[in-house]
Amino acid sequence: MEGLLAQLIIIGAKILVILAVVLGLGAYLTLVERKVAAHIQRRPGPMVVGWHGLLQPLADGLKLITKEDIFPRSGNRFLYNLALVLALVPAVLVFAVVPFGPEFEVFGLKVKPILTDVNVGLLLVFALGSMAVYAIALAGWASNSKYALIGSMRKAGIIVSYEVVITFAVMGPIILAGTLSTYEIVQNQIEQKLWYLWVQPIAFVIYLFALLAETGRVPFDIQEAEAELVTGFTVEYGGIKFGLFPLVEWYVEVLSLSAIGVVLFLGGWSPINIPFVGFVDPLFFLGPLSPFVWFVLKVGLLFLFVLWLHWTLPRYRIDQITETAWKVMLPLTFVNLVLTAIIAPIVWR
Amino acid sequence: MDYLGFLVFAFVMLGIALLMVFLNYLLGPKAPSSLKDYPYECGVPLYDKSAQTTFHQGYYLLGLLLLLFDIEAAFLFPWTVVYRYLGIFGFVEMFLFIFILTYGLLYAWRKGMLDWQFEEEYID
Amino acid sequence: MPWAKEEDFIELKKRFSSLEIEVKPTITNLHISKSELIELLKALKEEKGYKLFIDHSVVDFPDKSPRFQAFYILYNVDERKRIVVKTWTDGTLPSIEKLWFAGKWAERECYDMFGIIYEGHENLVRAFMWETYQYHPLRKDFPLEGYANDYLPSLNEVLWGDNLQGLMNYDKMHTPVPTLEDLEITEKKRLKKKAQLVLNWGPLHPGTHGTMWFLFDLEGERVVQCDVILGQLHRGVEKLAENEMYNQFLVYTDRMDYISALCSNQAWVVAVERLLGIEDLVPEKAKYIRTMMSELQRINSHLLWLGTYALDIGALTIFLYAFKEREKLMDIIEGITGARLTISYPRVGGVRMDLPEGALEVIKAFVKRFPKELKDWETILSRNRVWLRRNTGVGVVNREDVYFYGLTGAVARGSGIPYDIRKFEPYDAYPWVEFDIPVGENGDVYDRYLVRLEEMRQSLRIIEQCVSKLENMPKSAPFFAESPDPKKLKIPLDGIGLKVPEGEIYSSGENPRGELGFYIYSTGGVKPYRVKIRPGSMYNLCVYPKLMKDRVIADAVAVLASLDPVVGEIDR
Repeated sequence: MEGLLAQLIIIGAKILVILAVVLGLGAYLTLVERKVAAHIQRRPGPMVVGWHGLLQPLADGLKLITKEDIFPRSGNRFLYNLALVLALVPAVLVFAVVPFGPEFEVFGLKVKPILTDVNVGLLLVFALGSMAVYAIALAGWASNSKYALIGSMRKAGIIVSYEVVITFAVMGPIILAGTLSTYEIVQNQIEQKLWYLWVQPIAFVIYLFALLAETGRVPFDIQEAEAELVTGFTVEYGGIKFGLFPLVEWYVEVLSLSAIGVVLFLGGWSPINIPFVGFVDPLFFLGPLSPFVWFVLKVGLLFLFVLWLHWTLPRYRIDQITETAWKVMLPLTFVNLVLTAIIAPIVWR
Repeated sequence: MDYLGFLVFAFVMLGIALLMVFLNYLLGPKAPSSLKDYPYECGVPLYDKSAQTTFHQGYYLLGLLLLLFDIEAAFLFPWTVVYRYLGIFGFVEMFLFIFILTYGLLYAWRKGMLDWQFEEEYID
Repeated sequence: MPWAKEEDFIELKKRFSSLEIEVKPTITNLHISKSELIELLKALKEEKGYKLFIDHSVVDFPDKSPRFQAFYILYNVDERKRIVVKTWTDGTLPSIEKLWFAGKWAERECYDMFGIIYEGHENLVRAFMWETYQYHPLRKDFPLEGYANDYLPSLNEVLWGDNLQGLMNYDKMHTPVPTLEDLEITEKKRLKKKAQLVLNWGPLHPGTHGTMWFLFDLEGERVVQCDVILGQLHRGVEKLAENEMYNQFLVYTDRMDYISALCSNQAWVVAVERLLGIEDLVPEKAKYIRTMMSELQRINSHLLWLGTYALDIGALTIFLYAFKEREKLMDIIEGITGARLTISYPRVGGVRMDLPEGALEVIKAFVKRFPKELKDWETILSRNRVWLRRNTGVGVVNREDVYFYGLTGAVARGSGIPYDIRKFEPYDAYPWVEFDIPVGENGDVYDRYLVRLEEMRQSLRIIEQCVSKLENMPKSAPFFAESPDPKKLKIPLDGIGLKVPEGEIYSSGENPRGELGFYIYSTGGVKPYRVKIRPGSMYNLCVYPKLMKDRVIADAVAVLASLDPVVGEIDR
C-alpha cells in the first residue's frame, strides 16, 4: 500500500513536469517561432504584449478560448470532436517514454526521470504516432467541406508514407543498441562511448526528413499551403480547437520526435562525445543538473533547425513528397539497415 | 505495473482534451445567424452539395503499401533487438527477407502505383 | 506608327468583293461585310501573317442601321504591322472562337455588354454580370446610373430604423444585386461537371490574386477542366468613359491596374496625344520624366509579383524582403507625385509638375543599392532544388499558343517571342534609351520568372540613363507642352476644354502585365464616343484553363502567379 502511494505520488510529480513542459513550453514555442521568423525577415516580431512580446502566447490563448463555437452545418459532430481528442492525446503521450536524464536519488528513493520505462518504449512511440493519421482523416471527413477533405487526404497520404520511412530509419540504432527501451538506448550509447550519429549519418538525415514530413513542416507542409487550401483540414474548426491542431502538430510533435531523435542518435543526456574515446562536459559546473541541461540543449538545437528551414525553403508539391518517400528514402533506409548489420560487430568489438 | 504511470497520464490527457472540446462552448458567445455555419467554399454557393463523395483511389493504394511495409517492420523489430546473438545466420536470413520485400517495392514502382497523380502518360 | 499600308491588301481586294481599305493617319481599317468576315480573318491570319489577336469589340450607333460596328484588331509580329477589320451588324455575328481562343472571351464580353449573339460559340455566357441579369449595360440606351428596381435598405435603416431627415435620407431603390440563387445559376451554367468533384476556388480566397472565381472540375487531385468567372470587380469603366472628359478619364486608368498605375496613365496619355497629333509638342523633359517614373513603377509591380509568387509557393521570407524594397520605391514615388497607389501624374501634353529637389539623388541611391538585393534573393530562389522542381516543366506555353490566346507581356516573352511595345512601337523617351528584352526558351513558369527578374535589371538600366539625361537638362526646361496656335488647339494643364477632332485610334503601352491598349473612337468634342480598353491581364488569363488541364491543384497557384493577373484590369 505504502509502495503504491509512493509510486502514485512520484507518477503525479512526473506527469505535472511533463504537462508543464509540453503544454506550457509548447505554447511559448509559438512565441519563439514568431520571433525567429521575424528576425529572419528583418522585423521585430511581437513586441506589444508584455516586454518584447513575452505575454503573447497568453493573449493568443485567451483570445482563442473565448471565441464562438461554430459547427459546420452538415458535419458529423461526434467525429468532429473525436478528431480533436485523437490528435491531442497520443501526441502528448509520447512524452511518457522520453528519458530526460539519468537516474537520481531523492529521499532515499531511486527515481528515473521517465514516466514509463518499459522495454518496448520505441514501439509505443510509433504506435502513438500512427494514431495521428486517424485524427487528420476524421477531421477532414467530419467537416464535410471539400477543402477540408482534400487537405486531410493529402496530409494522411504524407504521414502514411513517412511512417514507413521513419520505422525503417530507426532500426539502425536499435541494432547497435540491442534494445527497444529508450532509457537503455541512451545507457548503451554512454557505455559504448559513441553517439550513434557518427555511425549512422544516413539514418539521421532520413530521420530528420521524416520528422519534417510527419509534423507537417516546410518543405512538406503542402497541407497548410494557405494559397491553395486555406488551412486545409482545419478550415471548419474554430477557437481553441483550431489553436490546438497547429500546437499539437507543429510544436508538440516536433518536440517529441526531436526528443526521440536525440535519444536515438545524439546520446540523450550525455555531453559532447568524442567517438570511442569519451565525453567532454563543458557544463560540469552545474553538477547533477548538467544531464538535464544537455538534453534540453540538444532538443532545442533540433527545434531551431526545423524553424530555420521553415522560413527559408519553398514547399514541395504533394506527389513530389510521396514520390520522394517511396522512391528515394525507403531504399536508402534498406541500404542503411544492411550496412549497419554489417558494421555492428565492429562497433561492439 | 510498469504501465501504471502511462495509464494515469492517459486519463489525465483525456480529461484535458475533453475540456478543450467544450471550452469554446462554455466560454464563447452564442450568436447564431443564418449563414454563419455555411461550409467554407470561398463565399459562393456550393456546386456540389456534399463533400463526402468518392475521392481518389491513389490514397487507398498508399494505404495498402503502408500495410505491407508495416507488417514487414513488425517482423524486423524482434530481429533487430536480438541481432547481437544471431551471428552470420541472422544476417543472411534477414538480408534475404529485405531483398524479397525490396523486390515487391520495385514491382509496385514499375506498375505505377507510386505515380498516382497523373493517369495518362506525363512527360516531366 | 505601325499601321499596315494599302499595298499589302491589293490582292485580297480581288478575292473579297465587299472589301474596302481605309487608311487614315492614326489607323488603317479594312471594311468587310458580315458574310465574308470569317474568310477575311482566316486569310489575314494564315496568309498575311496577322496571327496575334489583339482585341475585338463593338461600337454602338443607335441612330444608324445596322446598329453595331464590330472591330477586330490584329497584329503581325514578324513585320510589325497592325490592322483593324470592321463590319456592321444588327445583333448577330459569326464566332471567331476557332481562329483565336481569346476571341471567345472577347465575344462573351460583347454579348454581356451589348447583347450580340455569336453563332457557333460553344458556351455563350455573360462575362462580367451574372446570368440572370436582364440588361446590356454598354448600349447607348442604358442610362449611366442604371435601372433602380431593387429595394435594399441602407445600413442605417437596418441598425436604427428609418429616421434620417433631409440630406441623409438616401433613395432606397438600387440597381439589381445578385442573390445566392443567381450565383448558383451562374456557376452551373459556366461549367458542366464531368468528373468527381467541382471545387470553387473562389472570389474570397487568399491564393487568387484578387477576386477571381475559378471552378475546378476535380478527379482526386487532378484538374479535368477549369473555367473562370470574372466580374467581381467590374466597375463599368468603359461606360463611364463616355461621360468624362479626356483628362477626367485619366484617374480611371490608374485604378484599373492599380499596381502599375503610372504605366497605365502613360498609355492613356500617349493614346490621346497620338490622336491629337501633338506627340512632337511634348517637351523632352516630360518624356524622360514619364519614362523614368514608368520604369520605377515597373520595378514596383515586379517586386509585388515576386513577393506574392514566392509566398504562394512557400518561401515566406522573400515576400517581406520584396515589400521592404517596395516601401522605398513608393516613398520615392510619393515624394515626386504625391501619391503611392493611384497616381495620375502624367497629363495630356506632359506631366503635372516638375521633379522636386533631391528627387534624382534619391533615385540614384536606390539604383545603386537594388542590384545587390536582387542578387541575394536570386541565391535563395533561382537554383534552389525545391524551387526548380516546383517550377520547371509547369505551365508550358508554346509559340503557337501565344498567337492563339493573344498573350502579351512577360508571358509572350517567356515563350520566345520578343514582343515588347517599347521596341515595336516606341513612345515617350524609349527610342532614346538603350535596353535589352529578355526572352525565354521553354515557356514554362521558371522561364517567366527569370524573364521578369531580368526585366527589373533592364529597368534599372533605363532609369540610370534617364537620370543622367535629366541631370544635364536646365532647371527651367518646360515640363508641359505649349500649343503653337492656342486658338485652334488648346492644351491646358488641367485638361478642361481639350477638344479632340473626329477620328479613331488604337494605341497601346507596355504594362508590366502585358499590353494595355486603348481604342478611342471620337466624334469630335471633349468627351470620347467609345473607349475600349484592351486589358493585358484578361487575355493572359484566358490561357489558364488550357494550362491547368490535367495538372494538380498545387500547380494552380504557381501557374496563376506566373501569369500575373490583376483583377482590376480584367474586370475594369
